Amino acid sequence: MGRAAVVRLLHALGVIAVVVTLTFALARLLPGDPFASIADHPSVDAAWRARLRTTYGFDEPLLAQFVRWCGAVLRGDLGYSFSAQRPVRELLAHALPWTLLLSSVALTVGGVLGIALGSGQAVRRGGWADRLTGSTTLVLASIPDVVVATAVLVLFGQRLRWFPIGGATGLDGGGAGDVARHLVLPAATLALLVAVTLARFHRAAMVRGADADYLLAARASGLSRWRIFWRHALPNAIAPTLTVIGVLLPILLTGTIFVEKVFAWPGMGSVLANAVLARDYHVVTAVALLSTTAVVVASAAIDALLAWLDPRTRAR
Amino acid sequence: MTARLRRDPAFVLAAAILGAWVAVALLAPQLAPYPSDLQLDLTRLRESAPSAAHWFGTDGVSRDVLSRLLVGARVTLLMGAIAVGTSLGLGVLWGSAAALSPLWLDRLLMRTIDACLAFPRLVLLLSVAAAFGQLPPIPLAVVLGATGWFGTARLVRAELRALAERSWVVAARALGAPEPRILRRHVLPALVGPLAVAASLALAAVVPLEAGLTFLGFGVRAPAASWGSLLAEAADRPDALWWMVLFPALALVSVVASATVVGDRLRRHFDLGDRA
Repeated sequence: MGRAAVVRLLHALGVIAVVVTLTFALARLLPGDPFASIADHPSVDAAWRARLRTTYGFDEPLLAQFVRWCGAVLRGDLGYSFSAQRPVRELLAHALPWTLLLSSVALTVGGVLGIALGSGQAVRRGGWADRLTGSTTLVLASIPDVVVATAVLVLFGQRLRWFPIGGATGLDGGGAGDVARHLVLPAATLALLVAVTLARFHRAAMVRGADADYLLAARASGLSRWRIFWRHALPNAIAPTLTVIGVLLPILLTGTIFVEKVFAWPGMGSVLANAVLARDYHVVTAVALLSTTAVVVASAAIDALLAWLDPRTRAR
Repeated sequence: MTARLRRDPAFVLAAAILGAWVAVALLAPQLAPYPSDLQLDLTRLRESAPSAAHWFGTDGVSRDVLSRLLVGARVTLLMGAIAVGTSLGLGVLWGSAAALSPLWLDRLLMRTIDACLAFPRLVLLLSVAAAFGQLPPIPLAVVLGATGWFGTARLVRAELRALAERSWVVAARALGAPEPRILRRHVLPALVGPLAVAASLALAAVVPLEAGLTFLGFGVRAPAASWGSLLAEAADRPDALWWMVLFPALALVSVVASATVVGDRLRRHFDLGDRA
């Protein structure tokens, strides 16, 4: 396993290196710089403007800027947010736990629900329950994330008033119970989005494996349906589904941004949306870098998990 | 299109829905009961719920929502088509460049794709939005397409690499057919299926993305109206203006679900498995 793991790690590092370069390019090659809104204001004196750019190194050659930027990122210095008037790192340190809380709850609930739905469909393949679930998940997966979030908010937050509709805590900033009540609607929305997408992939994975020889053999040897499902069909469909979860992570992040925005959840998505409105580059770059790195690390972790679960993938 | 697909009711229904929307988009001004930009009666007809005269209600400045929805189909579908065209074009270019490159360059090109695939698409779009601010619909559609071609590039490369080994291509080469002829007669036709799958799935991805982006305030902006901007106009009071959420959402769902079904069935038809 050693050699394969090293190769996979190097691959992930290579991807992160490309990501870092692309993020830098994106931020610097697009028009304007972080000072555009402040420094290009007509009332700002030209000399001061030039000094501002020199101070922050924006007059250096691109390569020198790149090297300096990489060094800063490695030290954990992500720049300064001009709109929030505080270091980006501080801003993100406040937002990140909220996003991690929201997305981990949603991924767990949605993952289990999606796999359960997909498995149930595959076991009763072609029956009315399969077709009903299939069309329901298709329709739900086709609704834009923001509309799902808005519908949940209107129905359970405004009409039924079961749960609070915005923010992560009440005005008096209550304890864990308060956060949990605020978490219900955004997490349920995100879990639903994860579940409907995953159910479709998982059903396909189970169905594709349904004609496999080992299942035929299991049936022929008289094992019960239940045992075949738990011992043979499900474990073999888990690998492709795990792979899909890896591919789904960027999509999950997109959903998180929309859901956080609709429910005013104080996480990375809200930070990003506000930063874009304020054209606050340092924040946008930092979020892009962080979220992409998270995706790369997570998919490397999933690959490692797959290798552990399935000896065949280790050989390659 | 073969008989097997034509006999599949789900595929036929989905394709018919997409076709109907294209027809609606083309004929929108004729079909719309009122001019879509006309403020009918600012004092009495603002935000009125669906009625016999206005099936889908009216908006905040007394415009007929049904008319705006029909005309909005033009913006939504045109943007979808441009975005899909852009992403297919870029994907084919990059993918075939990689397939034709020496090994080291191929590796570099594909690693770049790996990295791009790790970027959450919305984060990428928002970075561009942060740089350019508000974009008009057509450049926005190009940007939407330019952030969604990485998967297509991978698919095209894989298909081309596989095709180069296929018996008929090898046979044509052995018979001394010139490379451009092999490409035109034997390779490109085999790419049509995978590309049709990629196009339908790209459409299913890009339409809700435009709606969401518009909803966040970075997408289509007045006076242009897409289904996303109808939603966005109701964003502050979705409960009170339910007809401005429900009907555009239904329109979006019909297009996205149909495109997904078409893509799925085509994928099964061309036996692509997990590749597209």
